[in-house]
Amino acid sequence: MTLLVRVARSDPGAPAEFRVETFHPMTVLDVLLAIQREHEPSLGFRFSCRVAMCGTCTIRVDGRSALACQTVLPEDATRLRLDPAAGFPVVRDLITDTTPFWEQWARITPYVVPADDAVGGEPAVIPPDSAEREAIDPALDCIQCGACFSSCGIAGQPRTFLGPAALNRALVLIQDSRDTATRERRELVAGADGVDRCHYIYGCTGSCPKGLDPARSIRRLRKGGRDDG
Amino acid sequence: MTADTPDYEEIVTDVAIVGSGGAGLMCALHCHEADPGLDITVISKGAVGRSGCTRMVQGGFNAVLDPGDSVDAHFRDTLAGGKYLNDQDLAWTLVNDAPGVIRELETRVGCFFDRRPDGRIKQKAFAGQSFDRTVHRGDLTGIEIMSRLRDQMLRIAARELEDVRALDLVFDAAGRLAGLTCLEVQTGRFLLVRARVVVVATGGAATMYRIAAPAREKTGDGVAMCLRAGLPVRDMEMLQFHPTGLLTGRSRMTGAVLEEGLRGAGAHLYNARGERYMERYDPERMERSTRDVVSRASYTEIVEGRGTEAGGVFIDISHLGAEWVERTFKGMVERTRLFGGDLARRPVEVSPTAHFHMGGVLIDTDCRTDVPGLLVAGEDAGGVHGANRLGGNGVAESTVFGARAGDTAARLARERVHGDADPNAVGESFSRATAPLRSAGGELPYPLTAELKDLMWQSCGVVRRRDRLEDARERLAELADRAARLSVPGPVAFNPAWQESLDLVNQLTVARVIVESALARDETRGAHARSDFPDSGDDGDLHYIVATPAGEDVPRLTTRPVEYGRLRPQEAAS
Amino acid sequence: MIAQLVFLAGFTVVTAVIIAFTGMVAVGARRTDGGTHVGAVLRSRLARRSYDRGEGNRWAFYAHRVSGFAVFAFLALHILDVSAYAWSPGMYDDVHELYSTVPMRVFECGLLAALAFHALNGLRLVAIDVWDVGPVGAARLLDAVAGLTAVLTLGGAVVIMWPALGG
Repeated sequence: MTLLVRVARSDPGAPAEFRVETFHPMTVLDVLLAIQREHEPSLGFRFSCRVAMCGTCTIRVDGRSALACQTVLPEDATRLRLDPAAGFPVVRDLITDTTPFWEQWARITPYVVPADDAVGGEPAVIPPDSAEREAIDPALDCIQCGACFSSCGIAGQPRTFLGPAALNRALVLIQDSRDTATRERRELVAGADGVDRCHYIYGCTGSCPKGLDPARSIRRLRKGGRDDG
Repeated sequence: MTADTPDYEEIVTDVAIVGSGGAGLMCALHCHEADPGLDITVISKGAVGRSGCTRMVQGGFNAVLDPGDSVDAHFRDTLAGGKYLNDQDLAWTLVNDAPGVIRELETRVGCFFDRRPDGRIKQKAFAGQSFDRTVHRGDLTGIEIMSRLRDQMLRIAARELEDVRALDLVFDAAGRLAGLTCLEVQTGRFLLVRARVVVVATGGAATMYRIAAPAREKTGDGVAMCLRAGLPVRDMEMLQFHPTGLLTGRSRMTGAVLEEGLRGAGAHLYNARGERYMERYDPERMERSTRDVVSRASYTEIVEGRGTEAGGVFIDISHLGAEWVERTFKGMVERTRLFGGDLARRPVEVSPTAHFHMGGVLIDTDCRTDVPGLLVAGEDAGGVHGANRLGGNGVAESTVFGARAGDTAARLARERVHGDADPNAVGESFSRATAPLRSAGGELPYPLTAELKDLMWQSCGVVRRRDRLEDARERLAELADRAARLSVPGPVAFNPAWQESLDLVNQLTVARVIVESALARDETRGAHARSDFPDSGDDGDLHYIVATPAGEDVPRLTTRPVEYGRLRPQEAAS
Repeated sequence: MIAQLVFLAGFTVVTAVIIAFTGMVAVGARRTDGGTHVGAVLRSRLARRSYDRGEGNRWAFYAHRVSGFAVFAFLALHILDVSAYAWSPGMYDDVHELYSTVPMRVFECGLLAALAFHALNGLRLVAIDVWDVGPVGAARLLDAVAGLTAVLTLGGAVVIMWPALGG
């Protein structure tokens, strides 16, 4: 079977339509590799681990953000449209500059700020069924792929909304009893660029390749950040 | 500088770290903590903290935390797993530092590992260990470690050269290390990074096999760079195959690992005839045997025609109950379902997959090499794991030795000065890199990479044989010739074909040393299996193979006796 | 007569601005969130129930912005034409004759739809926030909003159009 693939190219003169012989199972990443090997050796796209752990192959598949490595073609697919992830400046072809995502991520102080006497000591004793962990665990495993950011109607460039991933991380850290920067983070998420900008589009939750629910985290932050159901 | 040297930018830094996986970022962190005034530069071929394999760690991290466990036991397990080929000082360092690194990851870096019901760190069972000592975060441990290390980079504000490929180490007129040449992938611009200390931590080269587990970036860049600089390497024949790599047809996903914990939990392996073939290879431990044994068994089944049509065998864990499997191995179940399989309910087709390179550059316990000012850490270094690596010792090695390299680098940076790189060497390095762009009418790199992968899989794979290896030696020489004449079209900015041709040169450099070393080891030991020498030599008289580069020719091989500084194999057996 | 022309000119501007704003939302959405692509894939996705990948919620967001802006822009004009009464009741009557023409009544139906959707969707967003209904619940609520908007608009349309259609 042949698949007609339309790829957004940054050079307007470069070929943008390709016919690819499909095999099954085949992911969108396989489609891109096939184009690169058989038609256009210099087609630009990014990938690394191909098992949804690195979070670098985020593109738009038929308009929607997804990881190329996790999007399996339906067996009867005949057409496919691939664009660079929305909300980011394009570097080349499908490669985007994710700096806007990381700028927002950096703003929430994304690392644990431990108490001075905790560093180098024994790891904290926190039972897995504590309220803290039950709130944090479902929000972990973010791979910073930016799919949520580029699916969010508010976060995309050039705006200043912190965005779903950073807010999800903020929720995790606000809940984390090992952290001492809770007050600063609360002020930030309650501020002008914080949770109140969310419009419940659910683009983030719908696009997260790890099945996280950043919209729920945002809603929890609106309620104060501590777990209150 | 020669007349035709392309323009380049010069960056002056105190410590240049090549690689942004567990070893690279741990190194940057320790370097900063030891001396916050240091200018640190992290050079990463892909996205910082999101390329390479620490990120892909599923299972976990071996460390002695429980009072009932001991570093001595961990040491003995590591040596037994490595078939006593390990550098005992390095292995001892690994097991001794690991608990401290776990504490540091938890209390400084902000990782959070799974807990026992009493709130203390949980440790699970892994193959080849006398105690349950594998620390983990679900079945996606690497994401937690690397995401948090990446966040630390935002705190210490190290200079990040993202999408920058390191090309060659360069020296001053007197032969002292001066820094390294680099290529900025996004723009095609060249850089000369002048540094007091260079740390090489790029990861291994297992992607040179047709069925392989690692991330795309792992093309042996670090080892190849060190070989070009004349550094000796050891144990290069020791390349580990993980027994359960997913088979998904022609998809790139093929080779992705289904985690070791499945076999640990009681999964069965069947051949295409439905026989539980491990009965014939290790009736006592069955599927819970070590990676080398299980991989060899599966491979034998497949080549002797008892495998599936696609060249695999089956792993089946459905007898433990779909619900339990879904809960315990969520990530793995999702991975198989993506392709219409279902690990929780049906057997899944798997094959041995190239996974980890035990071999690498010779280092001491402070990660120092024969070149003053050059440190090597992580998978680029050799000797820690000997002939076979235990599951859970990989991420431990990266972070333990990354941290040590950071401490050493901070110390050395105070003592060393910036050298002036030899302009001719700089010019030659850049000109070698641009060769594929300048030449016309040559081949594209992609078919050559495919040939290399097939060749290594067939001739230097799970089980090896002299005639095959000799054939591989010749064909690799021919491939290297062809790789020197590649030509790629397109722009200099973010050109994947150009980048692949540079990867290919490094892969071939490493592949040739692997084949030479495999020819030299006339025995079956750990990951190195020879069908013409199926037995292991005497444990009491072990040698490891050191390859020293000899100009353009294949490296010169020497053997050195393993030093039993802490434990003799005979004592371990008793 | 001049007053009528001025009103019509103002009305034209308002309509043009609403259309321009809609275009801006559509183009901006493509840039920031992948947005308003209408194609086979989107249609199939919408057919797979709206909660799948948040499609319905996304389009509700665009519609919310457009309807909000449309109501606001018309209200601005309406304040002006009502304030004409203070100027001269004759002029006011003149302008407001236009409101009973058929095209204007059709526009009023559209306005009602925009108003109803914006108000109901606003309540929906409050409900999402208060009860944490999640993406599936949000999509179900959106179905209700769409249904209520349709009922209100149809009911209102009958009332609005009745005199014009010989009622």
